[in-house]
Amino acid sequence: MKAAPVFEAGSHRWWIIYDQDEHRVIDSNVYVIESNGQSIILDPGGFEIFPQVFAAMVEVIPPSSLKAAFVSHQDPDIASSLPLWHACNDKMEWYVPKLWEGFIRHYGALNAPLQNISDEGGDVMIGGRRLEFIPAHYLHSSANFHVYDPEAKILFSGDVGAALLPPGHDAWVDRRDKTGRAFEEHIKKAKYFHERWMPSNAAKKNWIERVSQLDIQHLCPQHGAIYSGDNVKRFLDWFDKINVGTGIN
Amino acid sequence: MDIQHIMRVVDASFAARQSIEKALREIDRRALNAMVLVKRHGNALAGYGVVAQAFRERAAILKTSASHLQESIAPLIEAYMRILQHQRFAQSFQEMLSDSPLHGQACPNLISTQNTWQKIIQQEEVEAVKILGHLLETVQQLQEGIEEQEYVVTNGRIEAALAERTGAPLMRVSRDMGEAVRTVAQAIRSYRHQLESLEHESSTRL
Amino acid sequence: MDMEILQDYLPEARELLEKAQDDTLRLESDPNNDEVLASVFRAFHTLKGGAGFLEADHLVSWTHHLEDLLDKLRSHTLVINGSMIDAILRGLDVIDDMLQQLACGENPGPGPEELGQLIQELAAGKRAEGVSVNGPIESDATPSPPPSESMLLVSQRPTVAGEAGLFLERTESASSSETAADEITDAEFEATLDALYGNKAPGVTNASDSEHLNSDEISPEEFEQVLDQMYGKQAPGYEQPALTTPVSAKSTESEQAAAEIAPPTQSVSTTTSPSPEVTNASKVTPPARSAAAAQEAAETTLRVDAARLDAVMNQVGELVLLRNRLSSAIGSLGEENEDMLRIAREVDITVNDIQSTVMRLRMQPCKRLFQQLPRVVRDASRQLGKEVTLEIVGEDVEIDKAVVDALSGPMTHLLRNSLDHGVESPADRQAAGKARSAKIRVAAIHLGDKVRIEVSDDGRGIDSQFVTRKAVDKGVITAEQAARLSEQEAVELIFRPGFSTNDQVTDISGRGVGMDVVKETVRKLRGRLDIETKPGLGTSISMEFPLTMAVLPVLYLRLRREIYALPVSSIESLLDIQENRIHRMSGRSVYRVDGTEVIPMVDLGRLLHDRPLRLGSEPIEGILTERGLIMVSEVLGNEDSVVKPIDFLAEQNWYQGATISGKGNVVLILDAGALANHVIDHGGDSTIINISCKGAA
Repeated sequence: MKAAPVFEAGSHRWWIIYDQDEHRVIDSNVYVIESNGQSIILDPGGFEIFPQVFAAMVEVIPPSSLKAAFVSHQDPDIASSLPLWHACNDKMEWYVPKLWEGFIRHYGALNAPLQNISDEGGDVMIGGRRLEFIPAHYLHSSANFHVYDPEAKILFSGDVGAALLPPGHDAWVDRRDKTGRAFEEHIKKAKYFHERWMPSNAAKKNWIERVSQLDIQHLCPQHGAIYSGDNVKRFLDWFDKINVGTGIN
Repeated sequence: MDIQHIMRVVDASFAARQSIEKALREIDRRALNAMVLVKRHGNALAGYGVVAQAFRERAAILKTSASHLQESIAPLIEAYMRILQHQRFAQSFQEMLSDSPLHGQACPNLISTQNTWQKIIQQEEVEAVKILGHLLETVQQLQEGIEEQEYVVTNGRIEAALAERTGAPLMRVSRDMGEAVRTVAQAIRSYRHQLESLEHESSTRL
Repeated sequence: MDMEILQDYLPEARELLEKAQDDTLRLESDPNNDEVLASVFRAFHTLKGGAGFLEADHLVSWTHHLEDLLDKLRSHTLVINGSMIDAILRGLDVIDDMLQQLACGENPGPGPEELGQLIQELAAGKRAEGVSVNGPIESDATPSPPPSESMLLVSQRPTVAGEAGLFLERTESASSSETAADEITDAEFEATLDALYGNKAPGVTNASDSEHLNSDEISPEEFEQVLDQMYGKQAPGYEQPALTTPVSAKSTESEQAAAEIAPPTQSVSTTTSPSPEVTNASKVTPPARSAAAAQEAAETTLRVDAARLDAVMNQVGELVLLRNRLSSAIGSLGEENEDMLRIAREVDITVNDIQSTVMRLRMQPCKRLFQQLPRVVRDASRQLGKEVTLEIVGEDVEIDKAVVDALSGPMTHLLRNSLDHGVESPADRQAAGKARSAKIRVAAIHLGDKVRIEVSDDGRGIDSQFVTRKAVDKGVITAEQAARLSEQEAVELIFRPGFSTNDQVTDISGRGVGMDVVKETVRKLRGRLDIETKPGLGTSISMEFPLTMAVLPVLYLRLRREIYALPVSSIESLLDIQENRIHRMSGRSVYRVDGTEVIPMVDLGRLLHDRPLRLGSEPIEGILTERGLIMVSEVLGNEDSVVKPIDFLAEQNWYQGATISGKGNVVLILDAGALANHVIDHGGDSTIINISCKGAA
């Protein structure tokens, strides 16, 4: 896997670790936020891809800077690497949905310091900067959160916006394409995922209403590629129109 | 395998790489600065021009060596993390065996799986030491490159002394160059110590 | 009109004209210098000869009258005075116009009748003590010797040495006194012949005539005609023009000796001092070169059409670019190939050698640029009633032909400007406790890979407040902008288009086109213009030019994804931008380079991309130039490059041309001065660096 900067302003940075080398498990993106020498890892990934995620991560931040991890929901592609991270650094705090705490410990981290996020959301301070946990329940997990960085104007959107891309894919949906054609091409690869894995049109509508209030420059999904600039609105409009929970008819 | 020792080495790698990159940029800028200075003085500083050119070429070679260094660090870290991953498996089988009242006597398959994992881990550790050895060679090359660069800096001082009458601030330029080279040399030296201690630990255990 | 003859005639005629003007000015201080008188005479004679071939009848008759006048002076039949010098100078201007017409393929029309009449009357001695044409100049006329009464007999016959020759005898004649003014004495004629042919006059073409031992009586006019037909402009012994060809470096003549004599009466004087690089050999050169020496010089120097030199330079430019591409291609081969590397190195050295040789071919002494100046100062000072001494230094400093060619207008303007605005009237100077006579100094100085040309005066200096007020009145800048200007920036307003400090447009300067044109010319020549002024003490304007225009060492830089080039000559050093050195000062972002030096920041991202570079978010490096710290994404490296002019850009832009990089890409060359100026003008909004992240931390 490789790391690329998403945002950089002085000591405040976002990185994406993407394009997995192991193809037998679903391709996932891992994000790292660094602020004044402290960092947090978002959806650190599955057990099987841990070595490559770790190796790519230490190219951009020193492992000793890692203070916390965020787990959007209970799935293995998101949290099964927990015991390995814990072995490397047992001081790391784990922010997990309260509903899933007992499930997540099954990955083999009985003693790891887990911090519960209650259904209404919450926040965390990293290197003096506040990150918000935005509720996104039923998108797709029944207890599910996204992360918003108001200063960088980035929303980590978990499975929302996910697309199934072939190996060697880009980190971004083409940012310089003004016509929207690149977006149209990309979203075809996202359609089935949303129809099949997202169960609730009501949850979707509620989420769009809340997220539309946020100033978002980059919308970062856990699978696929980042939507930046105009593509953020294009995605929200597209998501608004699509009928979810319809993967099987 | 002492995972905390490895973490310290990974942190040291990160720091070393950052300071080497920064120092190499600095070296490159110093070299370009010198070349600009030489160009601005027409033919009067041609001798120093040769030095500045050599300095910049060396800096480019150092940059290449440094990128090789980076290419070797990532596989090493990945190798150690794979060992960590597999130790988890071995450990869980170990736990099953020790938790069983029969101490595994009734379950030869379990013992054999546990042994297989131990073997895999051992092979992987040998592999990791090999990668570590390779990394140390790269570090060695980088150090040699820096020694050559120090030689060029010395030549530069001589040329600067010869060209002093032109009034160009070559002595200062040479001093700056020397400083930038020393920074890299220092970063590399301390990084090498870290790697060597890890190598020592790994080979005594194997 | 015979075009081939015309092509040969024009450059030579122009050189003769320049020389004649120089000589004429020297006559002001040294009226009895026979050498100089003869030289001017010869110039007119040769001009006339060539004009005859071209059937430019009006030019023939015009030069004839001038030749006539000079002949009288040369023979001391008349004595030179101020009116005559004026008339000769104005006569030279008319010839210049006529040459222009010839160059355009037209047959020149008649010269101005009044001046023609005047010259004829002067030649006839009718106005010898006459009224001065153009202001007061003391005439140091002495009584003319009585006109000689003689007839000339010319015969063609073999000389003692067996070569064909011309012989002339004089017979006394009482009846000739009426036409005396048109006649020359035999002694003078001998002198002319000597000057023309030296000791080995070539044979005449008509062999049958040479057998005639009978001498015929001919009038001087007829004789002139014979001379013209036989030799025209090709008369041997006319060594002067050949010696001032562009490829000849030793153009210094014996002027020093003449110049050392203190100017007795007039207000303009010229002193020339050679730069130390030239040996003193020129001082011992005998004043009159023998024909043999001239012959030798003619064989070692070659007159080459400037267009051919330009072609060679362009081709060398292409070669330099190809060399760069070769180096780049070999560099990217990856594996080291000893042979290839050696070949590349040798190509490199050879191309460098060719480059410097061609560069030298194009070099010309600044003398060519300076020689018109004494006349400019003389005319302007008399017109303005000011007293000025002109000092010229470094005539032999060589610089690219393009600079010499392009700078002649601007130099004239600078001098006129200095005389008009800088130099005070003698009375004012006296009142201010200065010498009545002002001093203007023109100097060329060799500085490494540059040549500096300075024009300085000891006049009243420039009042920055006055300049600022004028600039605001004329709408050159707004009052708001004016308030932000430093003293120096205010003075530099005189270089803005549309600026002229004189309320009344005068004939001398103040035409509203002037200093901005000077600046633009300097910019086009990739030079630098500086002005330094001290109230009451004077002003100095200096221009620095690259030694050669053929090659431009550039630094390649990257702004985000694009590559640009910046001339190395404008770069002081390269810096790592440190946030704590950035400050805001009266609405501008400035950078503290070291303890004391603070310099405006020029954000290339904002200027060229309309999107400022953001420190901390993207890589930024600084290029320190004299007037601003230019911020770029990355500095890439340097290369000796060749400029290709770009003509499709608007007048006001940041570029001074384009080049082709070693990788074969077209790269725009930035103009550091234009960038810095823009920031100085629009300081408030030009550089905003995002340092807000720091505040949030």
